[in-house]
Amino acid sequence: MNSSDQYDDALADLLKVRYAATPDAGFTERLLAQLQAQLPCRQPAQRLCRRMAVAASLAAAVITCTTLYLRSRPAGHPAAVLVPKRSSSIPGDAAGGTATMSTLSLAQVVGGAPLIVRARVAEWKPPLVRYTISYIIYGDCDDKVITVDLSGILPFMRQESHDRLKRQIGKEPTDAAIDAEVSRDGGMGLDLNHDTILLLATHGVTYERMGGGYDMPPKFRLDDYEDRVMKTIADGSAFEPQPWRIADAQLIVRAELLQIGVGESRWKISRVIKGDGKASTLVLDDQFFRRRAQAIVAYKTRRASTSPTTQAAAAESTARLVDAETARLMSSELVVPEEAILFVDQVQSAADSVTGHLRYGAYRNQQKEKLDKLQDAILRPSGSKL
Amino acid sequence: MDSDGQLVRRIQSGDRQALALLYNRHLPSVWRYVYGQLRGDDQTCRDVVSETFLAAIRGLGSGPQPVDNVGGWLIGIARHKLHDSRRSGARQTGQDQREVASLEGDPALAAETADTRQAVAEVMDQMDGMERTVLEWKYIEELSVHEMSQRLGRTEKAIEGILYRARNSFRKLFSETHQVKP
Repeated sequence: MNSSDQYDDALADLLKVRYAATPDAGFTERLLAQLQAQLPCRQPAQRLCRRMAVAASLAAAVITCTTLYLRSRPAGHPAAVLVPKRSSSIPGDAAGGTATMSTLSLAQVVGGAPLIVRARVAEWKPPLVRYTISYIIYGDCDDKVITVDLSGILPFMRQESHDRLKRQIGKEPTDAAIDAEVSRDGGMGLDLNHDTILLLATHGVTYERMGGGYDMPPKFRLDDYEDRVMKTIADGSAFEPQPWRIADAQLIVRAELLQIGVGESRWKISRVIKGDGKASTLVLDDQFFRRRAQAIVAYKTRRASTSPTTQAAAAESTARLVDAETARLMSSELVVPEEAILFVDQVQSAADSVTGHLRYGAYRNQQKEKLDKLQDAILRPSGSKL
Repeated sequence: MDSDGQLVRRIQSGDRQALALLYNRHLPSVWRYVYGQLRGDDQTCRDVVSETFLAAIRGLGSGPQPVDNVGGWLIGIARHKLHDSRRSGARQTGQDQREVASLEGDPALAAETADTRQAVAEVMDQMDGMERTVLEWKYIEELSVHEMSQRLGRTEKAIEGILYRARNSFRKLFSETHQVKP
């Protein structure tokens, strides 16, 4: 070995031992999700191509899950991937706590997931995982089996598994060993028979995992996790708007509530923060509340009883219960005259009004300051020196 | 394989996959840099790295950016963010202290380890952005010259030249800041 080789080896050792450091996969993926949420919508041509590709794939009956959200969501909606925080030793992610630049709270992750299901792994063929849905917690999905694409996070899972194995065995692990380690301890319960909750976003015809957890009592009970997820949906904290979610909305306005009607609410627009600003009135349908109501009613039914008689009775009255819960949510959360910042999609313009579907809403309640701060954050997101 | 410059252009048109590729390519380097500067303060490191990439993505959205050396550009932002973090009195308790505490049986070794780590971090901070990037890719991530040339959109000969200069720079700076020669 010549001196140049020796120097190379010494330099490699020095850098690897004294300089190498890696973030955990949970942090890595959460940050990527935040960054992707910052991206602008694609150009119209790309958007069209994407929708055509989706339609073609659906027609071919490839891995599909035709959700209402897939049909209606705006292109460019962030569909990010998150994995459990590996350092937490808890088999669930976004398990709670406050949001920082690097950590999304459970409510924030739930708010970005249009479909939440309880499911079990049916098949794991990297990078795709097929899950059999046990039941839907939130959102719409017609299929019993869905496919989740892990290609965005698989490199991190493999790298972690590689490093862990290398430390254990003291030599370079084989690809097969790494794959086995990813399946066994990849942080997502990919080995079969784990009961799992998945927080999902659509990505083409497959899904991307925003977060979730798998059952591993007593350390982590999935029922408790489901309770926490449902709490954010029921109390609305999942749908608090965040400045970095502006890409989710076609229209963002500051508005004052005029009245609550049957299946809709009418708002007087005082300022358009994002989108076209000609209309003075905004009419929101009740989908935002109805979808939450469906989740709440289904959750209460599951928790109430498992007896066949009760289940049958519950099924008969589900529609009525959902209507009642929708009305309750609207009347309790919308109080005339209330000022709010509203993130709206599915926007359609009429003569002097615009209609749409509420995605996130912040209400004045006692403090106007909260709305002012949010508005400033949306209008001036940078705040940093480049 | 797309070069950094190509990925930046795709990101500016809203390509999420391109963002993931560029992010995966440069996150390790930015993390190592910030982690080294903060002496292993993991939580502050997370905040600074997050702020760095968020500022970068906003910067890319606001117009043409230096796409010639993305790694160096990101480290430049990280340096600003570190400065802001320190100025605001961010936590300075670090891995070094924990390392010393955990090696009570051999405090001299622990101290030497911390000193060396700090010296390497200082040297990497002083190095030219491109040279630092290729040095890390070569010796930590073990990329080939060919892979580096594709990432950076440069010829292999150019990469070899940068590597040669990087090795010499590191040797010179390290010998100036630390007694142990690599």
